[in-house]
Amino acid sequence: MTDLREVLADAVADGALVATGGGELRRKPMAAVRTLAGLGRRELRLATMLGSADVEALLAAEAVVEVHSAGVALEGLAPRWREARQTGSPRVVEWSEGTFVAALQAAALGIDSQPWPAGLRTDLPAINPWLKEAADPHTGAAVLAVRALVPDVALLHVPTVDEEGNAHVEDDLVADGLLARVARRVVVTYERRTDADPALGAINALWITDLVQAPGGAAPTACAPDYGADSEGLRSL
Amino acid sequence: MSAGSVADTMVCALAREVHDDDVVGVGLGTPLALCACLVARETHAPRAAVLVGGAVSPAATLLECLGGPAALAGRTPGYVPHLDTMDMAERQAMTLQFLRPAQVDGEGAANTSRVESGGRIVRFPGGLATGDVPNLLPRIVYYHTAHEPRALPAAVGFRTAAGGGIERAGYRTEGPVRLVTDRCVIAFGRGGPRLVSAHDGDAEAVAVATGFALETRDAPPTPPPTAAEREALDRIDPHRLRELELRELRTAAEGRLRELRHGAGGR
Repeated sequence: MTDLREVLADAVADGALVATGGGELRRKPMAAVRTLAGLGRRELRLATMLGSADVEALLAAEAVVEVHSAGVALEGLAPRWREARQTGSPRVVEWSEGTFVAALQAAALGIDSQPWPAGLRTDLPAINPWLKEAADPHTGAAVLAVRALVPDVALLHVPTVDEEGNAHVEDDLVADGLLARVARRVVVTYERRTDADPALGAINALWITDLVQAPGGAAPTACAPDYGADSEGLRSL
Repeated sequence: MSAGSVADTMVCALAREVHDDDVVGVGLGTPLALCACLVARETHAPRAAVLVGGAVSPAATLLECLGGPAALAGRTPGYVPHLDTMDMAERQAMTLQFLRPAQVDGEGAANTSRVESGGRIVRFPGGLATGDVPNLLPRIVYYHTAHEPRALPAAVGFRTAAGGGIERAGYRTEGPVRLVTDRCVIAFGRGGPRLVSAHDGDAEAVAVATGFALETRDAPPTPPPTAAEREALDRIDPHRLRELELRELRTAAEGRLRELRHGAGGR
């Protein structure tokens, strides 16, 4: 399937846990997010370590019932995220960056939970049921046991894809590599084809379920080297 | 002390916390701390490595750094991916970070999550790595640009990060060691919070404005920027973008940043 709407209609059911890649104002899968919003999906659970336009757009579409993140911002405050934080609707599950990655690492290892050495003696476990303070069975040392977070679908956007279907990036991969390994289905949109060495792909084709070309598909966030973040576009989300 | 002088004093007080052998991680959302790291490298800590959004020790001004890591290509010897910076923190290959919480208490616990205000809960956009790094890095330095009792209470309303150090798997962290505010420098440690210096020399006024008990004995005035620090500030930040985090100067600084990026009339 090469039609994004068709792919997402098949990949994302109501209530699915959808993870979006990129970070802050970089490589957010906005073409997929907009398409998903247009499909009228409801009660989605959204997970992104560092959110921005992706979270704002899905909140605007009233498609989301729960958001997992360590932080969401545009070039300043993200208004719909701010409202969700204040009203508690949709539900926000508050993570730190480290615990969010630990939850993905647990998923990548195929285990129920992963110990994390930080966030101890804090109130974070009281508001995030994926976190429980526990004792390491070998040493007795306090750790946070972080429950695995397994997305049904990961939406990622990259600048280029080679002839073998490997995805290439020219900036920080952020958590996209982990998301590709843990999501049950991985939808990658891309700007253009490249003749780059397939061995240098950042995300191997084996991890990718669906590839769909979507030029401008990260806008208004940046997709290096093709374009930067668009301030005007971020303000008019 | 004018707000502009406060910004300069805070940047220099933060810069003095950077050691010459430090590896410091700093993001674009904290321009005061970013400016401090650049000043430190230009003055007493030239060998400190500063990761600016992952770009290693860029030869760049504050304005150029605020353009993001991609804009620093050609000015940096390399990039460290975001997840690798987290691994560096875990293994203490990174040694220092600056955090700007909404609240800090006398134990050094920090809140970037939520506060109660006027009978309702106000929640913040997200704590990012605040919940992680105080248990990971050898040292953490907090800063706050509005020193008042509700920002520095006896106990934070929510513990996003705990104070104090820990030992884990052979690594030791001191936890939060300093707090630099618009009024003073405070040290955390076994004897409880201690006033290191008051910017205007008025230690008693600082104690009154602080919600937790503070040992103020013999606290001197905060040393003003040295000639070398002032030269570094002028070179690194001639547009005074370090003022982006100070409430009364923020709007003007944002206007300067917009103009620098988009030209006069830019939005």
